[in-house]
Amino acid sequence: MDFCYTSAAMVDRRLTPLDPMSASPSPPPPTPVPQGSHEFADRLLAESIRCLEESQGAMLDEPDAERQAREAGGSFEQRLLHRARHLRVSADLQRALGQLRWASLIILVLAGTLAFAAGLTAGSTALGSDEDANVYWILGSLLSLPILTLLLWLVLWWLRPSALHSLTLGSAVLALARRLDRWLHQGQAAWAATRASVAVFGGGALGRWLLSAITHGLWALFLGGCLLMLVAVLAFRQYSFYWETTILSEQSYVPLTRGLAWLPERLGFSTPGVEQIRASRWEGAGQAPRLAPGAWSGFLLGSLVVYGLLPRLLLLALSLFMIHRESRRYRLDPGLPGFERLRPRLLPVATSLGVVDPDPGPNPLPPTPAPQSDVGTGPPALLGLEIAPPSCGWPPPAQDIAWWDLGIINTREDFRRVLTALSAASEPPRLLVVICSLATTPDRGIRNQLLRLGRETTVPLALVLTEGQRLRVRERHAEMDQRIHHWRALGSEVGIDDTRVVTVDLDHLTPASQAVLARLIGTESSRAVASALDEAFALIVTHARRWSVNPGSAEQAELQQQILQCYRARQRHWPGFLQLSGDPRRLGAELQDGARQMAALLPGRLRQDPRWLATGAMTGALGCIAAATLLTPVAISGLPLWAGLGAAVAFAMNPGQKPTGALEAPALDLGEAVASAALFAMLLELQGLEEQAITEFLDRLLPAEPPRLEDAGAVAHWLDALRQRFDALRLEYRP
Amino acid sequence: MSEAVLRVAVVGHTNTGKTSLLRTLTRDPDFGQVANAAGTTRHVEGVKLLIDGEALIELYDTPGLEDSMGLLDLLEENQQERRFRDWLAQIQRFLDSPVASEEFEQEAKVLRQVLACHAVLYVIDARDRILGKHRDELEILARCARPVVPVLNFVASPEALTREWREHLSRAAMHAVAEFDTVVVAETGELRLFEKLKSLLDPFDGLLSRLIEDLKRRRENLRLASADLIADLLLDVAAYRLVVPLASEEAEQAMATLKHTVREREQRCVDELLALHRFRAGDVVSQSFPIEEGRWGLDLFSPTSLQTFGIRAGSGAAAGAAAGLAVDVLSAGISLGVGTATGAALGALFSTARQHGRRIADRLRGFSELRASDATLRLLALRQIALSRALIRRGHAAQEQIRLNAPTEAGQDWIRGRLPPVLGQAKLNPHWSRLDPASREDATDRQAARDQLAALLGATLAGGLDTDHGG
Repeated sequence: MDFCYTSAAMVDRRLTPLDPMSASPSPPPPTPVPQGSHEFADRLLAESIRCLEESQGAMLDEPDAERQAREAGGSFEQRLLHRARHLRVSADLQRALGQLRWASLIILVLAGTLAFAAGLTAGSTALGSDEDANVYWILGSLLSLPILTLLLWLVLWWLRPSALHSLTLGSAVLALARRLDRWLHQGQAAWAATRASVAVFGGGALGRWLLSAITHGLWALFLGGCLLMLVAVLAFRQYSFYWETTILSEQSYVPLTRGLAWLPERLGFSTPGVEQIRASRWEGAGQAPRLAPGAWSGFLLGSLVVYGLLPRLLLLALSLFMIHRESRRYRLDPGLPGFERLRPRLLPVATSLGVVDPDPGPNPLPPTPAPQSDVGTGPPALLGLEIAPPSCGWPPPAQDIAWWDLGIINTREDFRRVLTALSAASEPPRLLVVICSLATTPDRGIRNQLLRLGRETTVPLALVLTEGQRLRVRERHAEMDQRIHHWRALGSEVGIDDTRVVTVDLDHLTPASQAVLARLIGTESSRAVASALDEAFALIVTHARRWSVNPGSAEQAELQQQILQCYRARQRHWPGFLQLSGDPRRLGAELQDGARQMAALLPGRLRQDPRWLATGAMTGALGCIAAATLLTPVAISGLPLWAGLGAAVAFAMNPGQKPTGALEAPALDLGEAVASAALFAMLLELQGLEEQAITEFLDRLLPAEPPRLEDAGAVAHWLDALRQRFDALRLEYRP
Repeated sequence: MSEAVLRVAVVGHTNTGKTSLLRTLTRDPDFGQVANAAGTTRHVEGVKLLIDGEALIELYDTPGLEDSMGLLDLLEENQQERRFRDWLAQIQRFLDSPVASEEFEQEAKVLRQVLACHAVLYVIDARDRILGKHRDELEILARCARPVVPVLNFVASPEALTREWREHLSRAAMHAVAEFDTVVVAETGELRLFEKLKSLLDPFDGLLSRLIEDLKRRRENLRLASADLIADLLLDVAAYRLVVPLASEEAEQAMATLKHTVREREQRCVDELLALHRFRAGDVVSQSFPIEEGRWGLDLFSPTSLQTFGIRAGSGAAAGAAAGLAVDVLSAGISLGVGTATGAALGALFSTARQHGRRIADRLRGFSELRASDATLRLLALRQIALSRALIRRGHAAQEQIRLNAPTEAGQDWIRGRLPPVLGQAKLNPHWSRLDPASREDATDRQAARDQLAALLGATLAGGLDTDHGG
């Protein structure tokens, strides 16, 4: 089943390596890769690096080591270890760890020596110089402490293992070792090594076994010292052993001694028999020489070995074995923050497989659409394609039109039904109006459906795009324009004339949009009264046709003058800044005023866009010029104001800076000029509303950027859409 | 029988967000191309999802299905001719026919990929109405004999018709429906998606369980690591102080230095948070308090920043150059600093006489101590908490940038309650601050304090992140 796979390039696109070789010196040779049992040392190193990074506050940034870690592959932990080995500071940290080990060793040796010496001392003092030796007293003094601590160790081990880390000899030794290391070596590496060793040995099973080993070892040395001293003393001096008691009796001591002696006997030590025990009771000083000193000394030494030394030795062996096992089993905890922060660098979430089935190139050319004949005489047909029933009702109200209502369809069966109905019609309709939703993406499916409609029925098509508001809510304005553009492209692919593709939002039907529909179908609605805004927009389109390239300020001023005349004819109010004094000397200042006030009317969001700001300022300034020329009819080009225009606009755009010298007015391109004129017209239309309301209105109406329009056709479409939105919003703002 | 690698095809009508979904799942904002038009993706591109470095799941982004109605018509035409009942063979024959490389090229690519995979994720834009073409698409996919998990995208949008879609899908016998929103990613959206896959794919049960566990662990670790970063920042800033003589020019200079240092430190925290969550600096912007190009736009020390989060500046707040700072001046006597409890001070004095002896000596000689104020600490905490939350939540597909919307989402205790005692401790330990070049590195108590504060912040982060969508 593996067809269609090209050779998959396993490129890790997420983390492309930098090129380190050119800039930095060659990386140091990695510390020799250890095998097998040295893995624990690796982990310790990785922990030290983590501690170092944590104390520094920032990750060590070495893309080289990271790249090698990624290439090495494996689990996250393995990559961490790999990275740790290849960092530059690793050598320092290894050294610091080694120094810590040495310090520990020194302290250990010292402690061991101390323990041994203590044992020797204890042994000698226990026996004393007196000839008579109280067996149990000696045993007690020598064994009590070791046995007690052994019991303590056992209890803690089972009940509160964590307390072991502070209450044992081992922990004291390790703490001393750390102190020594601190005293001997300073620096971040040493600090990190210490912290790492605390982290690794301070918490878990490994640490506990290590402490136990040290503790048992020290006690074993102590007991060994005792034993040695005892043997030496007993070899060169003569003692007679006895036992004595005040509250206990013979009956308790004999079985006790026999019981205690059982194990040493097994091991080969000579122990006193029952009679000998009885006979050894203290009778007072200077009695007959005690019996069987050999047996008693055997008993003494044997108990020391069995109840003191042996357990410690066994536990020491166990601890060492467990240390070995645990160190093999020790794993880094990748959940620690210090490691987690390395995850994005070492462990990508995904790697690319590349393109598996490549793009073959552009789509095959769509089949040429059949020529649309206008021979149909029947009423226009109406078809809704994948839309929801609009809120204006279905069919949409358009005056005096008898639709042939084909309904709203979206399935294959319905489509076939429509096709047969259209083909079989006795009186083919003169136009098929297809209503599609702007919110849907125009795709090949819709294209093919439209093609079939046109081809199989030979009825000319018209395309009405609705649900613009729905799309606007979802997307931003730029997406909106793009979507309309795609639909227009689809229309031309299918062979629909550009004038027959319109955007009418059926959910917000206004008289203007109804007029658009009427125009589409070919019936001019007689009751449509062209408002001042319609006239103004028509003027803009006319002028746009005349402007060959980017319009100059004079041409724009002329347009605005004519717009103003439209409104003056209908006796609308003028904005305050257009009430000019008529004094030519003050005109310059009034220009600045006008530019600034217009810019201030723009909503904040648009003021941040430099193009809108320029547009707005120009509108204001040109508006003043237009007003001035209406007051005193003078040819626009003859005005001496043009020098002031640039300054006025610049001042409006950067209120903080005083413009110096004569400035050129900003050159607006076609889209901006059209937007400027439209803004002017709408401002005149909105007179009577408060400034705040006007700003809000403009905020909801205008896109983020002035449009980029290429020709008069695009201008007409844009103004059309703007007009409809204007109407829809106007309903909400009644003065 | 279980195989080593699970292959999943991501399929859907054109422009429903397939590529965006894959961007989110792979944490790669550069994967493929996303545009608001038909036919943006025209090839089949694969990615491997890695679990602990091991590739276990392959996802394939496919071109959108555009003309499924036409395709179904074609398939049924052929069916009538040959009276074929085996749908899978029917599709295979379609793929072998010449029309598959011409008119229905895109659909053919998709179907080939589906046949090469073990499962299909069928992505639906939940804002779309349920139309005939969707039914036809599901029909075609059903004939491919692969388990299909429908994924409803854009469920966070107000227009989403989630309930209607679920009903429709259950009528087509698809009950394991996943919900997603690649713009506003819910905490568990990704997890639930894989859980639904797991419920339909028995042979891959173990594999998918591993993936799900890995995702959960990753999310948890991210939260903890973020909390740790913020804790580190707070400790550094809380402990940082500058000592200046009371003369005015030096004090002004010192204030400027302090502010600059604190700002830089915050910036470093932001950079590290972004890196931790695999984002680039340019990806984050906010509406009400802008972050642009990875920097907080609103100054840390401006009163507006405090207001945005609802923090009150405090009674003794200084204005102007000293805004956001706490200035402790020894005034004729015993004052040991704003907000220092006497008991704690005495205890600290007792234990670390050497450090504090110097502080007291400084004060007696007429120096003053500059620190960041409590309000600033709160603001730092809240900002970074808000950022972390947004980062944990956000998918990698949003073309728009993060909107850090509600200051009210952050822990209320940080706005109004008492500051954690650890921070009070930090104020008494200036050597905890790494911002001070003279600090020593050997603060073991700092590590303990950092862990404590990180645990607290971790709980705050967890508390605010609840699932937005069920099922």
